[in-house]
Amino acid sequence: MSDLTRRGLPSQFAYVIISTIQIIPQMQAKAQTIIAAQRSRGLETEGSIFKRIGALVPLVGPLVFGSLVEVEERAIAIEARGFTSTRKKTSLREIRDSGLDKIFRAVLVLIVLAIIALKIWTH
Amino acid sequence: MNIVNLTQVTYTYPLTDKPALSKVDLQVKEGEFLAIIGPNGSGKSTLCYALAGFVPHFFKGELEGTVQVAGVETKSSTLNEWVMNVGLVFQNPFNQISGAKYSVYEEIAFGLENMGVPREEIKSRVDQALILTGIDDLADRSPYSLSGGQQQRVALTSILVMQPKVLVLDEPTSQMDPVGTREVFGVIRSLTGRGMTVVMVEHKMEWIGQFADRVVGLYDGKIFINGKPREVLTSARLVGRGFGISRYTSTAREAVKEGIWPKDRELPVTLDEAIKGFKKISK
Repeated sequence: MSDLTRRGLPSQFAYVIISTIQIIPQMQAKAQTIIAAQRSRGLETEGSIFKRIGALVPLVGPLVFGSLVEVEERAIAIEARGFTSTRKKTSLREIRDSGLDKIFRAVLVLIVLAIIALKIWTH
Repeated sequence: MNIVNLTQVTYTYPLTDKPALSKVDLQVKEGEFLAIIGPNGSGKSTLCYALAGFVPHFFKGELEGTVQVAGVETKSSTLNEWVMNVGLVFQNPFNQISGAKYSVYEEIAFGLENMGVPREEIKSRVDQALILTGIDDLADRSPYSLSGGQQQRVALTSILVMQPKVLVLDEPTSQMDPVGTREVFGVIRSLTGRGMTVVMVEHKMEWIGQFADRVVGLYDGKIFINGKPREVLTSARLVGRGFGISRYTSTAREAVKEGIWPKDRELPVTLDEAIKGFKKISK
């Protein structure tokens, strides 16, 4: 995360990116728990496509509201760890950007451009 | 020397009518361990947030009265100044894991990185803090792979490493098993032994009875009772108001009604006191 902020990305954006990576599996686990709870209350999750879409409705509410509460608590927690401090942040780990990393990145960009060019060409 | 000084504090959350705290006066001496008890909705969490500066700086809303903690006064400060002086730990360990770090070691260093502490100092402080709270064996683990009790100790460590003058804990053991609870109280006792001021909201009366210097009870946003643990936890004023009461106290109180426990003897709060008391009777 400090590498992203070093390159000029505001720390809030860097935080959202990094924390989302770890939190997605946790949210999946939470969704599973909510589905299991709703099924034990009679929610039907098998059957026609309509039934299965309908089964998502009692999942969305608890998941979203539960997440909103958690987001507020987590905001307080990172605030309590000085996240919005205006001091210059230091970093525990030194993130070196070696010549190899730079070349690797350049190659990846070229590959993406090449793929885009190919798609346009073959249409 | 009072390190916490609340004078006539009244606070209402935005978009609500009823004040969450009403004319609260509270002083805490440096190095004291103060426990806060109260029924749900009595304003305990709000009081914790006020002690840590989050009320009003994070939650907005109108704060009347003065809040002075560790030399910082609410109206003339920013949240960043508060965070340096007052540590806040709350109930749910999962929501206190930042999610931005892949190991416990880095998670604990997070606060120090934000404070701009030089790298070498970060390392020595994190190393010390891990030993202080006994989680040095978890240093390389992912915070998400830990049990709730372990995560709570990580959360506590990541606040302690910032060396706050006052530590505020809002029901830190409510989601922990007895072993985890004992570990957390053990760490807190060693901290108060070193002179840290601790304010803790707790429901577990037996533990408060053993460790706290003073107990304050909140009811309906107001200070309801304030005194030594023994007096407060065995007070009849707590009955029927939604306060948690130690099961040993309740049992002995029933025993008094039945004429088994002598009226003039102090009611027990902890298991040991209950055993001693009932043994005397059976002799």
